Amino acid sequence: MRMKIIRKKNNDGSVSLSLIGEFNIYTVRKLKDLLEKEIDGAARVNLDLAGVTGFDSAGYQLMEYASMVATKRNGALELENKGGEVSKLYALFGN
Amino acid sequence: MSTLNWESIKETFFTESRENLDLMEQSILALENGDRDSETINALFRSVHTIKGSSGMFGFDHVVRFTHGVENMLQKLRNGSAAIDQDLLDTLMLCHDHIRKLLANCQEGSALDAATLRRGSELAGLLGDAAKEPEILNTAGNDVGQMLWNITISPGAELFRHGLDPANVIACIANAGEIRSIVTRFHEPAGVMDPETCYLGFDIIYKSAASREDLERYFEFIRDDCEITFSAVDQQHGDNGARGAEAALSMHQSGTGDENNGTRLQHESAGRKTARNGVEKHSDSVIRMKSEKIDRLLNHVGELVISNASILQLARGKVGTDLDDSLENMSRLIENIRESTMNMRVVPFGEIATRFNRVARDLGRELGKEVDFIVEGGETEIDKSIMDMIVDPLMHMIRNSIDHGIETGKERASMGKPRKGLIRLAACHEDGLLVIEFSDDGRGLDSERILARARQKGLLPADADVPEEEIHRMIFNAGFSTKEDVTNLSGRGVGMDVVWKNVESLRGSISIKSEKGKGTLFRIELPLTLAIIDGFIVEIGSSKYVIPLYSVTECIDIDSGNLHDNEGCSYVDLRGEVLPFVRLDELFGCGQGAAGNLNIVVVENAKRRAGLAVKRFVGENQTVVKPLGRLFSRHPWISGFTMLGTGEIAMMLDVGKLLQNYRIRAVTPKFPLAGDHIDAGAHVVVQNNQ
Repeated sequence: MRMKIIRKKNNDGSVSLSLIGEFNIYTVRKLKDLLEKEIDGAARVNLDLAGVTGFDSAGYQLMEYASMVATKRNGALELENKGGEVSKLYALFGN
Repeated sequence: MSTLNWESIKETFFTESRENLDLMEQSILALENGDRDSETINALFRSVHTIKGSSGMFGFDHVVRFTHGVENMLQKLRNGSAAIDQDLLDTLMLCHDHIRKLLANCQEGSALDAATLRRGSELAGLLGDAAKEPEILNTAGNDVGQMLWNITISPGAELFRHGLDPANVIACIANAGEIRSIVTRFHEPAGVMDPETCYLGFDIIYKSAASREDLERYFEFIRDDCEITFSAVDQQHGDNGARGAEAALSMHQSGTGDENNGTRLQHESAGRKTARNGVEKHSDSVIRMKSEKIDRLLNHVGELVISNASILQLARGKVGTDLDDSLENMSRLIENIRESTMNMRVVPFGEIATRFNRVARDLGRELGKEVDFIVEGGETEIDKSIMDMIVDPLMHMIRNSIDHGIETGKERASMGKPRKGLIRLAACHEDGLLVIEFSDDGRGLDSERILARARQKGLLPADADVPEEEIHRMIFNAGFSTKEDVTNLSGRGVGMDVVWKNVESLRGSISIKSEKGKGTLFRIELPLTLAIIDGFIVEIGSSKYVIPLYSVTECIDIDSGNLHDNEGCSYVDLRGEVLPFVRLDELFGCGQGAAGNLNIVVVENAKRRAGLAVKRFVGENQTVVKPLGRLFSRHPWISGFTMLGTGEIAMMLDVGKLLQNYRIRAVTPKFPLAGDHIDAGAHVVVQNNQ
């Protein structure tokens, strides 16, 4: 399996998702459906990216999209622990 | 975009850099005042970082080099490897001044003189190792053969599906040159978002020695799936790449680079867009435009107000209910437009007040005096054009106050005062006026010396009994100074007359309250706006005149039996108090007014009250103030004119000057009550000083 997701519902109603594995063109379709559902269901979604081992432009694009959707729905998508490949790509793209 | 050019972007850069420098200055002052929290240090860092980033984009490498050194020092403060002390803060303040100087040089396009270069080296020395890290040299770089490119990448929808990733190409060019800035765009999908379709786009400012052919080679792999444009940015004139440069500039405004990760993360956690979208948010919420554009709009609104008045005039007496409603609606909308337009010109008072903080700090140090400077009512809104004209007068007052007013710490201690002097600057809106109060707790005005000096100069008669307020006002005379020693700050008698003139030209007034040994208070009253005001129209002779409504306190109709009008002394009994008045028809040479009752407009200015006798009250009106031509510009009591709805021209009376020229002296404050005889010692004079 290219990607594994650990989901945790917090006491305050927010949801924490830990992504482990690849977050790229191979996994974005599955992840998009999942993120949309979570954003719909919770006011706040925390995305822990510490376990991401492969991150590309498609993954970055999905993050942009998910943030936009969360904002539109008056929710929040928080990206946590952008390390390794994730932070490198964000820096490269000027963020 | 076609109207954008490199010069206008550059102008924006200089404007925004000045704002960042103001922020830098405020942050340093805040640190000096003990606000040493991380937010203040971060704000200081961000301001320097933004200046550095943007300067690099315009090729001002010497600014980049210097700011980089400052930034390194600030980075040490942020991570705790350096401590804040007064020496460091002094150095940072000097660095701020130097950056301002460097940018002013860049804007003028002049070469750096030897003194500025030397100053830069001295400051770099003071910053120590922080300013000497190798990165500076890299940033300075060797520009020989280096070109600045604007690269736009617009990937096709199928890019990802073809197994291509633009990140690889961008990483590749980053290794071969220097990405000065990059803006990553995400185009919102029109329908359902397909995560395998590419919606990204990139605008890159890139510095490299590579030729166009070399650059094109980097993009060979993705060329079939992307639209890619390269254009060389002419750093001096051309508008090639202006769009990218503008985007890059915006990018720098929001902060780029690793250092800002913390800030960006906070933004994301708040559920907002990422930094890139933050740029868009910024440009949505703030529009920067030249103030002349707003002035032009205001001018049109002024004409609209006049046209509206004209329509109302024409419709008077002919209106049916429907027309009435429509006219009322239109008038309300025009009033709303007027208010909104006026609001576009207002800025918070605190914006100028913070500038004075630095002046107070530097002057205090120069003269060895400790001064606390406090601002109250910083949120008070003030018309931009009024603000521009009031800055200099306030600056003079602060200089005067620190030089003349505030005593040295030793003197203060011996007088039982706190060692630190206090200067207070406050602003508020009061009765349709903007009131600015400037006070200090210094030695106060020395009435005896002022009186002696005024008599010596022949400004006051030698034997007359002059009221305290009159004596204090002497300081507003050109060349008036009681100080024996002329310093480089004040003492030449230049300054307070400028204060008076500027306040007067704004149709404002200024009053002084001072107590020897305790301090001085200046109270400046100004109209809220200059362009459109509410006016009260009166008829004098056969012409109409406008009195600013904020000066009018009431209108009275006095029976001729209650008038006291002899030997140049005109006064009435207004509810038991003296009200001196002047007959404007006589003053303006329009002949004697009609016998019988007298219409008097009671006006107040600079805490002085008087009556203006007119032929007839016409009523209130929104008045668009137009300046007078050269012929009338020096008229003593006409400050402008306006066009009424009827098409008539009405002159605007300058109440302040009218009261000043017809100086009113009331020796006893209370008028004898009706039936009493006037006491021999009480006399009220309306006196022509012309």
